[in-house]
Amino acid sequence: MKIYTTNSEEETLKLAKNISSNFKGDEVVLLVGELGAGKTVFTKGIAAGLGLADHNRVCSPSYTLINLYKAKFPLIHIDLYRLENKADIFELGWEDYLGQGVIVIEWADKLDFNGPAIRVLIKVGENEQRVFRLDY
Amino acid sequence: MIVLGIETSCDETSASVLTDKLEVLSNIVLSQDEIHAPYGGIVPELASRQHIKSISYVIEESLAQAGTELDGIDIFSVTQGPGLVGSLLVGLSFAKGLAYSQGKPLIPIDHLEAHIHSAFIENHNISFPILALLVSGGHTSLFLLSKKLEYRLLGSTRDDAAGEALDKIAKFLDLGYPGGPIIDKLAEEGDPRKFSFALPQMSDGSLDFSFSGFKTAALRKIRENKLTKNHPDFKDFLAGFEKSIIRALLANVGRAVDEFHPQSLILCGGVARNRKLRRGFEGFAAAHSLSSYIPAPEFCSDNAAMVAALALEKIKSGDKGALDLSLDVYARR
Repeated sequence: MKIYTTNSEEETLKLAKNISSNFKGDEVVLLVGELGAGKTVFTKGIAAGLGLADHNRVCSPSYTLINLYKAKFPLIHIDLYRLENKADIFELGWEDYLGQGVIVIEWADKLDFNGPAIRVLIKVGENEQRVFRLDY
Repeated sequence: MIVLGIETSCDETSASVLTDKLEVLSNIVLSQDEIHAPYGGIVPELASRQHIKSISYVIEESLAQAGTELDGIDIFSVTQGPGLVGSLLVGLSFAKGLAYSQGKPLIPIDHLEAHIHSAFIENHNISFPILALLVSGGHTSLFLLSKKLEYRLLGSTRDDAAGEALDKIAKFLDLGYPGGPIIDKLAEEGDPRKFSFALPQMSDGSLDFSFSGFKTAALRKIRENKLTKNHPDFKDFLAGFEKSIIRALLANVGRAVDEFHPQSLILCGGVARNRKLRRGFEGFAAAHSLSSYIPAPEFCSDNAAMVAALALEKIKSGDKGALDLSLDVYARR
């Protein structure tokens, strides 16, 4: 387990970028944190670490459910925000992407996944502070 | 000439039949409250594999309402992307099958271009250049059309879409989902001046949008003021939040107008149903002596009439249409 604290979006971006820069290409990152915690910002950082040229293009998949990006490895950005139950999440078919690239899942607390993953819990502090707890 | 359009890029399963005079003979959209499917009235909210269950019914219904049959269709058209790959595949594969079986051409359509073209269903002559603002749950983008069928992306959101920010705050306050229309209604009775939100500034001067800062600021205000549905300032808060989003949208439209000098403005996409955005957009256009075009609400949300309408435009511009069975969907533009 590792704990990191950031004080701005830029720092969050940098943290995620550092973490993903030595990814092998089949990682699963499970993001948990309340609304506005910075899950999408963290994903932008992961995209930057994977060499995506314009990580500004990484935006929230809450509505579109799954966004795909071509970086050094494919980046599969998934958001379970709108999905209420296990059947809906099953219908999404996200597991088909396992092994196909780096998978980042927002609102992963809605998911039962016991496979190997990097689990990131984000806590919102005072002002812009965010605390990231990473479990591998 | 009769065109069938099919749209399955996200939640809605839709099919529509249009004549070459842009008469909408049918526009069936399967969503929660409009049509009860024959298999029990529960309509799939979720996309992906659920489209498979409804697409056949939706197409049959669109043909029946139009008073025609499959062999009466001259051209098939379908959304190719962007959208959810699984959902898009259902529509595209089905459309390929239909076109192949009937020996007719199939025209693939871009979902965002179709949204912009939805303004032409009711207004056949819109002067170019056109600046189009597309606002929905999944997209917030500005396009410049120097002439027909030429779409140049000027800016898009870097985080949340405008509709998504509205939906998320509504859901956080337990107002229901989708929250945009609920906020639209409640905010009518609120005073938007009591709560203000700073407009995001793009440091690089681009025409991109950003709404996640609004979301975070709104959450902070909700906590600080302990806002709930029963709080006396509740509707004022919603009105202020909604107004800031509209201001941010119109601010970018204003900058794009100054830079590109369009003749006309189009507002489209699901959030274009929002009444205050419609009024604000029309007011902005009037103040700048520009013509503005906003589709009727049924052509703002995802629908297949806009797909068929854009296919017709492509045919008019010389696209003969073909049947390319190797066509594939795309998730992003």
